Amino acid sequence: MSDTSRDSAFNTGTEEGIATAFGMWIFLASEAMMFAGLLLVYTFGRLDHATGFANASSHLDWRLGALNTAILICSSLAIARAEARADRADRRAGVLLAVTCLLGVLFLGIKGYEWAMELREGLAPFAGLAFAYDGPDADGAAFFFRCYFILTGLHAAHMLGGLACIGWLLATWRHRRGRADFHAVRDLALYWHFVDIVWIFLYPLLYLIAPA
Amino acid sequence: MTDAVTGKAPDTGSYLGEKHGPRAWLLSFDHKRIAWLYLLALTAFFFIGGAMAVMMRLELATAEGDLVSDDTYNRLFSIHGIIMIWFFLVPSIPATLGNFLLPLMIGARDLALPRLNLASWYVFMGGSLFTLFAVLMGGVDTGWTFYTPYSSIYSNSYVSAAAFGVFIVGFSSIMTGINFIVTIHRLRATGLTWFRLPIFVWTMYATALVMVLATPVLAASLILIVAERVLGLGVFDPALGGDPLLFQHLFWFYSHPAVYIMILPGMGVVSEILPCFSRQPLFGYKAVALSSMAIAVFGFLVWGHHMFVSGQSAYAGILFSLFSFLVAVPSAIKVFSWSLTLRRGSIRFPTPMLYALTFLFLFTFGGLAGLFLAALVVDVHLHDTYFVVAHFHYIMVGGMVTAFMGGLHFWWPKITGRMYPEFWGRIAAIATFVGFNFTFFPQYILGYLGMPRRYHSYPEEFSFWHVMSSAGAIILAVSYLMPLVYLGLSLVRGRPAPADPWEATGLEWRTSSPPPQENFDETPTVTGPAYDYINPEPEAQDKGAQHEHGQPERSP
Repeated sequence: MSDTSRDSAFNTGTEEGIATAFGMWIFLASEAMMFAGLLLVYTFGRLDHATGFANASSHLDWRLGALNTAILICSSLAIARAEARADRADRRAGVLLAVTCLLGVLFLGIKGYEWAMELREGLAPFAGLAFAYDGPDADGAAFFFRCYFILTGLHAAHMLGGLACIGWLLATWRHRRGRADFHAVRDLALYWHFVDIVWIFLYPLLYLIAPA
Repeated sequence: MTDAVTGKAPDTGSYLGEKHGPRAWLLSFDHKRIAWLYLLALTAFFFIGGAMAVMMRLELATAEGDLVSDDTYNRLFSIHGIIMIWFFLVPSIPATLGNFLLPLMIGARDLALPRLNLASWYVFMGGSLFTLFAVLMGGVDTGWTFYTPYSSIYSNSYVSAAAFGVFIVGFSSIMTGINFIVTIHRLRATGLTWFRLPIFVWTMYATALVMVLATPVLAASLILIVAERVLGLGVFDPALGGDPLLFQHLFWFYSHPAVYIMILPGMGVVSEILPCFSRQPLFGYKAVALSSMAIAVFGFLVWGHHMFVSGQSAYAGILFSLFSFLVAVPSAIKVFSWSLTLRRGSIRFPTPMLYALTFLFLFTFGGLAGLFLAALVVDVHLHDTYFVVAHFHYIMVGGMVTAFMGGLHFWWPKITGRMYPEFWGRIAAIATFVGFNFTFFPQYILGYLGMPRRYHSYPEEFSFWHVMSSAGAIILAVSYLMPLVYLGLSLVRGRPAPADPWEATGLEWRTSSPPPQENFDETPTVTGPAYDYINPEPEAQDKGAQHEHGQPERSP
């Protein structure tokens, strides 16, 4: 009972932990709806501009996308192991969290490199930039690249949010002792897996459209 | 707890007397104090939005556009809609009464996630003040709906700033929703099964579900507008291969369910008030509880009825029309249940009851008008006319704001520990009913005669109804200003309230008024159903009455 703070409505830290995990699940449902709205825009674009979407997709480097997919899956594995250790109040979970962070940064690095390449090749049809795509259905291809930047941009913003939270967790690591102090690791792992799963959807939708 | 300085009886040992100073209020995790923060902010926004409405009605008192320019008028109705919907109606009952009462009604010390609760208020203030800033800078002229391509390409007002502010406020709504769902699942008192919950809690649950699942789609569509205006990342501009209609789909996917965010809590409030002042259990408790959930679910399937004349597929229109008629069924179930709760009751008419009956009448009236609009063919004539304006004001103002006022008076003794002046309360409630009908009933007629929305001038022949509506608006404005004065005065001058001034059932009445910091001195347990009222004048010989009294015995 020692961990019952006056601010909590729960009698034990365990009960509070169940509640925060449940809250995280509901938040993820909400997040899923946000991506669903944007995927509706994507679906509309792809139905309307099948040729442009397929040809534009082949301008993305599927190998880099595949590498990033693998990196994210590994980061999810790392945070899953961190969660298991944290559940035993094993403070070495911190090492695995740091690994998760590194993999996340690596993902964003590769993503940033891809964006830079696309900007250089003139595949970013917004902010007044020239669109250098010369295949069929240029309007459709431009629509594809707008969807691409919106979806990958929002995904990257979610990655940054996750990284910031893990960073905060590590910064406060030395104050964490009891099992209840580690509930945040589990909640964050849920979030991280969600962001990972979003990418699992984005990768084939954006990188792997069969050429028309 | 050593509070020797406070001599006032009702404050001793209560959450109000616990700690003083701005820090103790602005950084408190106590749901009761956070409810106050919301109440003060929402009151301010309500009167700002109301002032805009009064200015519009003053302009419309004459047929010529003489008081404000057409451009100013566009900004007035846009910001009136934005403030009233996102900064008042959506958070109104959930963030104030819900925040205060939900833990009390289920016998908990606080909401499940108190820090998230406080954070939601700061997010709300951040977003809403940001939008208010956009208004002061020059305003928005798109209407509250931000329709593309006007909002994304043509409008040269502060659309991005306003939309971004609303985007931020959306997250406060999601935070509140998450908190309520977790709280209702995890913190119910021993013995408080789902079918023993007060209907107010059920409606909070349904509202929270809609908040959590619909608001993110609004966030997505608003961020797309901002991206299109600021970055040229256009997905709605036809010149860029996009589709303006896509925005309407995304927008109404949120904004129609949001209508239920704005009425379900009101239904919850009257479901508490009507049984209390007719001394009868709520008729058909289970049906009322489940119909809230049905409204939340069906509410997601009707968004296309805003787009009957936008050029969506006619087949989609038929389905959306059908679902719109279907969503009226659970609402009708509630209206019948409330009416039958009154039947053979020992009815008293204090202020909250007057507001609740006003709700019952106006909501029914507005809901029936909604059926006209849900019919494909009739909507072609009525779309974008004052008929629509009258319809949704009957629901939003006649329904939700009236319920909010009723709830505020009903739980005022619990929240403040003071009684409000009953005489002035009744005057205000009656003035609301009169003023409201004078304002909005003429608008049904105007709309039917063909007066379109959003114009600051009109042909002479509409004058009679417009003048009547403007005159009513003044009465309505006064009826809302009165409570501001007498409720404010009652904070210092009001008679100390007993724990249960209305002899109501429900856990919130089992603790002192105002409640202690921990809500209950002893954690309550529940052994019976909600609304365990006993009518002092039972008519045992009547079969119907026997049936009604049989209800409390029903097992959960």
